[in-house]
Order: sequence, then structure tokens, then C-alpha cells
Amino acid sequence: MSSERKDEFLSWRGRLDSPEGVPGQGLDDHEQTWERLSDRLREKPRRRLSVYGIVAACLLLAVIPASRFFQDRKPANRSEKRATVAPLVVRPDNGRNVYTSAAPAARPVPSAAEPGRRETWTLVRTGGRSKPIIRVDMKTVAVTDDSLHMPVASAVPLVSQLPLAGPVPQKKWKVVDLNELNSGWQPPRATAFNFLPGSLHIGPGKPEPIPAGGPAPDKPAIRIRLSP
Amino acid sequence: MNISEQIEDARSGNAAAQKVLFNRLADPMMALCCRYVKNREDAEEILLDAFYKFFTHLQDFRYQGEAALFAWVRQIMVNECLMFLRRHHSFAIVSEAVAEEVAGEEGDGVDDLSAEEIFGLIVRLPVGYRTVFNLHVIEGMEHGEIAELLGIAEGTSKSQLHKARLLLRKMLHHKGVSYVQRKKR
Repeated sequence: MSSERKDEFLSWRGRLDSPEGVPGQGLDDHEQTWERLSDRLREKPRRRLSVYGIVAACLLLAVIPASRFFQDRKPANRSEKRATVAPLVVRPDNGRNVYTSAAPAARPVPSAAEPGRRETWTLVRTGGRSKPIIRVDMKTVAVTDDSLHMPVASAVPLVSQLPLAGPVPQKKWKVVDLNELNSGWQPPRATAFNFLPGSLHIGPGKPEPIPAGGPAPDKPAIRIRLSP
Repeated sequence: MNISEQIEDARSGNAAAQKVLFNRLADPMMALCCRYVKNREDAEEILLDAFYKFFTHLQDFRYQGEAALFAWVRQIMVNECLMFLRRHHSFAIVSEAVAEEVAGEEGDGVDDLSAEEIFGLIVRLPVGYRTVFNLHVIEGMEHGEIAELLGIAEGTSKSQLHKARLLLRKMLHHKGVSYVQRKKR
């Protein structure tokens, strides 16, 4: 191979490249070939159902019933999921105060100037990597600052009333920090709310009845901390 | 009407201009197709496919002279031929039997051959040798490009070319083309 001249056959290139072509190797019948070509050029491009198109159609046919199947199952899954994150339910009371019934924090509606307006609150639980968000739809009510420091008079078990709640597993009472609320009003930093036992119910199940004569001495008060 | 005007008219779908261009290019392109594909009917089909692509993509072509036009059409033809060959042949399988060394001889007579004779020699090569020879020697492609186009190793392309050369020399030798023993310095 090493003894080969690299351009041994190079001179052939020019001779085969000439615009006249190779004698005897041209088209036999220009007219006929042109007719065939012009027919192809005139006809509209055919809509060929490609392999990809067929595969895509099959996938669609398979995906649509499957999506419907899962759509039907979605609400059940949702309620289970929510139950595990201990839903926060916020409720206005008597047009003045805002209480939590099944949640660890109370959050007044900020737009007190517009009572009756519907708002969606987003409450963010902290303490873990993820921040589950629960949106609660409610009407705005007039709220004063005093109401925030008032002992809760009654707690209504809203868990069973709202679709968000659903059946939830039993959980122990605990202290929960809320550090972010997306409404306008923010409590002062490190404001603590002390509630009497029984007035606030955290977790599933029915709330405990409010003792008529004040807090029971053997039960610890629940402390809910709201911080920015 | 010069060729650039013909191209402009053909671009806008003028059948007469398209026909003029076709008649001008058909013969050399048919010869090119026949150099890759032995069967004339197959070559004609390839020619039609290639011209169809040529006319439907003419809007993308920027005319920069007749040579550029020829080069572009040639490229389309070669691509069509390779597509056909890929569909019908496996380039990985190489016939080893036909390549025999014509020891120590170099062809001086190759320069004196006519286009017809050259064509006749090339089309007698096996398909693998012929394709690599056409692409490397006639089209001027590098072995890397050829390997990529044909889906073979670069070494395979080189060896096929080497064997094609050996076989051509042998054919020339049988043909009586003068092969002169060169003195090595």
C-alpha cells in the first residue's frame, strides 16, 4: 500500500466529471423521463401516515383511558394525603374572631375593611423539607388586634365539614410553628399565643369540650408561635 | 436565457424552465448514478428521486455559478445513490477473493484511458470497492466521511479502496494497458 501513488487514478476524476457526462451512459429517453418527473412534481404531496404517526395515535388511544382511570382515583388519594399533613382549618367566629379548630394556628383575615369578600389563604407548615400548602377558602370578616389575644371561646370541629379534611388518623397534640402566611397581615415577630387547654384542638378527631370553669390544671396549655 | 434565470424560473414552478434544467443536467447525472448502481432501471429511479428533491428544494439553493449548481446536484445524486445502496447492500461484507496484488507495478497507462473505458472499469468493481472508490477518488471524500456515510470503519474504507486499486490495476493489466515497472530510488 505504501508503494501506491496516491493520485494514481486522480486523473479519472476530471474525465468523469465533465458536464457532457460519459458517452453512452446518458438517459435513454429524456422526454419520457421528464414526463414522469413532471407528473411527480405536479401531484400534491401525499399524506403518508408515518410510523411515528401510527405510534403516536396508539399511545394516545392508550393514554386517554388510562388518564380517565387515574382521574377517577385522584380524589381518594388527595384526601389520604391531606390527612397525613394534619390540615389547617381556619374559621371566623361571630364576625369578630378567627379561630383554628383543627389546626394549630389562628390567622385573622387581613382585609377587615372588606368583610364578606372571599379570600384564599395559603398556610405553610414548617419543620420539614417540604412545605405542604393548604388553601382555605373563606369569607373575610372584620378583625381587631384585640381578638388575637383573646382566649378562644369555642372551637368548632370543622374537620368533618370541609372537604379538605376528610378522615384523618389520630394524632397527638403538638406545638406547630407557622412562619409564613401569604396574606398581607403579619403578626409581630415571635408573637406567642397562649390558648387554654381545650379551646384549641390540633389534629384529627373531635375537639375536647371547653371546661366551664377555666382551664384544667392537669392539662398543659397549648402554645402556638407565629413568627415571620 | 442564462442558467441563473432558468433557476429563478424553475424556482417559481415554471415547467419549461425546469425541463431545460433537467435536460441540461440529466445525462451527466445519469452517468454518475450508473457509476454507483449498475442496473440502469435502478439508476433512472434514483435520478428521478434526486431530481424531484432538486426541484422541490431549489428555493434553498443560492446560485453562485454553474459549478456550484453542478456540485449541488451531484451531491444530491450521490446521496440518493448511497441511500439506495444502503437499502440494498451491506458494506461491511467485503469480498476478499477478487483483490490480488499486481506486484510492484504502477499504472502509467491509466492517464490515457477515455471516460468510457474508465467508466467500464469502475462499474466492474464489486459494490463495496466501487462505492468507496467513487467516493474517495472521484468525489474526493476523506475516509472518515466515507466511513460515516456507509456505516463502516475507517479502516474498512481504506482497505476497500486499496483492494479496488489492486483490482483496477489487474483489470488494466488484462486489458493490455501498459504498466511500466518503475525503478525505485
